[in-house]
Amino acid sequence: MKNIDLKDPTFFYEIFVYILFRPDKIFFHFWFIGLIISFYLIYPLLIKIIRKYQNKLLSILIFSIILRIIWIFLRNTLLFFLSLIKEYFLIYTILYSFTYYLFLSYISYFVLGIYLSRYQSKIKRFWLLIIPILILSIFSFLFTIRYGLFLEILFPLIFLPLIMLYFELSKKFKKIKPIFTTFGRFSFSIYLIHGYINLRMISILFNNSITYNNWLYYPLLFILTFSTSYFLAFSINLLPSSQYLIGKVRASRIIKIIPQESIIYEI
Amino acid sequence: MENNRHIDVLRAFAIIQVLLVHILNQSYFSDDILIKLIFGNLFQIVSCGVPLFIFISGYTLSLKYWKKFSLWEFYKKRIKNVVVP
Repeated sequence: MKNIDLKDPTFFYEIFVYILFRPDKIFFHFWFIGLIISFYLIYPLLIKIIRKYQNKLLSILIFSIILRIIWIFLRNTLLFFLSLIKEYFLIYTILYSFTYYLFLSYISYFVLGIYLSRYQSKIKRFWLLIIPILILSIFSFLFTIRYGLFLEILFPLIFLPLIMLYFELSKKFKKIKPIFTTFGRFSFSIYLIHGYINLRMISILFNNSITYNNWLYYPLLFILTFSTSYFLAFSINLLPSSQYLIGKVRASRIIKIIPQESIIYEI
Repeated sequence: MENNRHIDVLRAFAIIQVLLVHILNQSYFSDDILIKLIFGNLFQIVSCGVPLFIFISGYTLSLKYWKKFSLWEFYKKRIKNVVVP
């Protein structure tokens, strides 16, 4: 990390470029906003294609998984070449953020969501997928170190049976305690707030000599960050026009869907 | 899917995972090898929070806009919910 030098004319220029193109450095977790906006931008086109070929939705899902794998290899190659032009700061930062956070890196999860919303009830024996995928996961877990390429590619395959398992179990547990749904309804607000709260809690723990080398540091930091972010989001939500600060908190409502018809009834 | 409360529970799982990722990634700076190993591996397990959020987006958008889709209404709602805050 570069030292702060206010007399250096390039300092403000770099800060400006970082705010514009490297939000991950200023608000490190806000890159997700860019990602989700890119999905919203392509959604009308995507839904048009998917509705046109809705009988071939499984093929579209497989294609999206293959497309993502190709993109990951292409992206990693591009990032390698980009690292060679680090001295061209502006070009490097724009290309880096565009390459890394492009929707293609997550396209298969999005298509999987669309696929399951249509064919969830038709998928049987999904649990057969769990055993080979668990074996593959353990292998990838043992042989990769932090964000291994193999694990990154494997994620959509692990997702399908796990999500199906969750949906099957959720049929048996129809009554859910409100505490679980509340965290979900406040998820976007917690997401927006937690970055700053996390930094504050780190400094509090460090001031009390609880650092990275202490076993208590990690569970304590999680409990403090999560509870403070939630209660802050909950309190701000009580204020008028709070949606402009912490986003809209989802209403606690029930949506029932008639299978195969996809007509939504709100109660 | 019987109701969207199960989706809210999934959202809760996802946000807890996102928070855990931002906390456990700090184990990288630890000098304790055991902390690095245990919390570092736990970091890998919980790093599917963002994919889960993307999955939920695809799932809920498809449920909502499969039959009736208005481009103007879609973007109006997205801007209000995501871009404004």
